Amino acid sequence: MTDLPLDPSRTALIVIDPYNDFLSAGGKGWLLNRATIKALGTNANLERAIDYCRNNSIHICFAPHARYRKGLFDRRRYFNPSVYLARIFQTFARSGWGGKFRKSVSPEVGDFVASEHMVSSGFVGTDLHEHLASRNISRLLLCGCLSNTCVESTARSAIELGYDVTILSDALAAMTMADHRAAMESGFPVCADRVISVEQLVTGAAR
Amino acid sequence: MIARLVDRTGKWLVRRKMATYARFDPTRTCVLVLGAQRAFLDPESAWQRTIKHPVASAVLRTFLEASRTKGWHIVHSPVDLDAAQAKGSSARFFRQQIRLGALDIDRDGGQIPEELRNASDSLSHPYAGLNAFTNTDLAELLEAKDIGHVIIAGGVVNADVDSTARMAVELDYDVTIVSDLVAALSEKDRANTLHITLPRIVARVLTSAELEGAG
Repeated sequence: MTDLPLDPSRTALIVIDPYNDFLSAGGKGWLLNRATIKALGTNANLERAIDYCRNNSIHICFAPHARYRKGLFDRRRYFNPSVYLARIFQTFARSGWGGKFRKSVSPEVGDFVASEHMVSSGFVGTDLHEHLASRNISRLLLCGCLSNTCVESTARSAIELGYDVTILSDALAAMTMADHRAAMESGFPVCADRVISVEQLVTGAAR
Repeated sequence: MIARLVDRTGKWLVRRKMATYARFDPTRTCVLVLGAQRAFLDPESAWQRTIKHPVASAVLRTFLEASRTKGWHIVHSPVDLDAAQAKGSSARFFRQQIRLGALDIDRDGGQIPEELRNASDSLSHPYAGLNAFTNTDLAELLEAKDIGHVIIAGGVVNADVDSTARMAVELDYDVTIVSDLVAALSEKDRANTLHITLPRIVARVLTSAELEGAG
C-alpha cells in the first residue's frame, strides 16, 4: 500500500523523542541505542527526512517524552518498565544536556512542539491530535525513538484516531536490533499503513 | 557486549520493581478478556484452522473459573466484527482477516460462548479497531470497580492485545499478559511481541498456570 499521493498540505512529519539522551554519544541511552543508530544511519536519515519536509512544505511536529524533573511521577500509581527506567536513570533531565533535542534534529520557527507525553504515545494526554486536526492533517510520517516503544505506541494511537500512518524505517532507533526487528516484523505491519525508507520518501518512490 | 550487559541490568531492575506490584489484590484485579467470541474460539472455525497459535477455549474457561474463585473481576470486551468490516484504517487488521476468510462473522461468530460467561462478569461495548478502550465504556467500567491491575487474555498478541495493553499502561494500570491465552498468527509474531516488545511495555508476561498459582 504505497500508492497514496503525498499531499504536503495534509501531511505531517512527527519526530518522536529526538533527545540527546537517545541519539547523541554520551546520552544515557546511547550505549544501548548506538548499535541501531549506526546500523540504520538514524541521525543522517532523520536530518534528511526533516530537510525534505521543510523543502516541500510538509508540516513538522515534535512529540517529546516527558523530561525528568523532581516530582514528575508523583501522581503515578504504577510504573511500567520504560517509565521506571526513565525514573531511576532520570532520562531526559529537564535541566541537562540529555533532555535537549539533538542539535541537528531540532525544531525551527514554524514547527510545532507538542506537549510532553508521560508514557509512550505521543497522542495520549498531549495536544498533538488537536493541533493536527486544526491543520486538517490526515497523513503522518513517523520517525524517531524508539521503534517498538514510543514510535509504535504513537502509531497505534494514530491509527485509532483515523490517521493514515507511514513509518520511516531507517529514521528510527531502538535499544537492540531485536527490538527494532520486532517492531518492523510484528508491530508496524499491524498498526501502520506503510513502512518506507527515507530514500523512498525523498525520491518519491513511495507516492 | 557492554550494551547487552546494560540491557540485562535494566531488565533485572525492572523485574525487581514489578515484583513489588504483584500482590493481586482481588478487589482491585480484573481479567480483561479480548475477543473471546465464537469466530475466534470454535475449534471448527476458520480462525482456529488458519492461525499458528489460537486460544484454546477450554484453557481460557479453566482460567476464568480460577480467576472468579480468587475474586478477580472479569470484563469481556468483544470485537465488533460487523463494524470492523465496515470501518476504516483503525479496523484494518480484523477487516483483512474477514476478507481472507479467517473470521466467520456469520452464524453467531460474534457471540461470546455461554460457558465463558458468568452473571457476575461485566461486558464492555465492543471495539472495532485494535484498542479495546477506543470508543467503548471500558475505562469507565474499570474505574467504577476501582481496578488497579489488569490481566489481559484473549485477543491477538501483536494486534488488539498489544494496543490495549499499551493504552492500559498509559491509563496507569498495572498490566499483566497471559502468554498462553493470547493468539498469534505466526511463531514470529508471538516471539517478537511476548518476548521482546511487551516486556518493555507491561509489568509482566505470565502463563495462566503461573497466574492461577499467584496469591
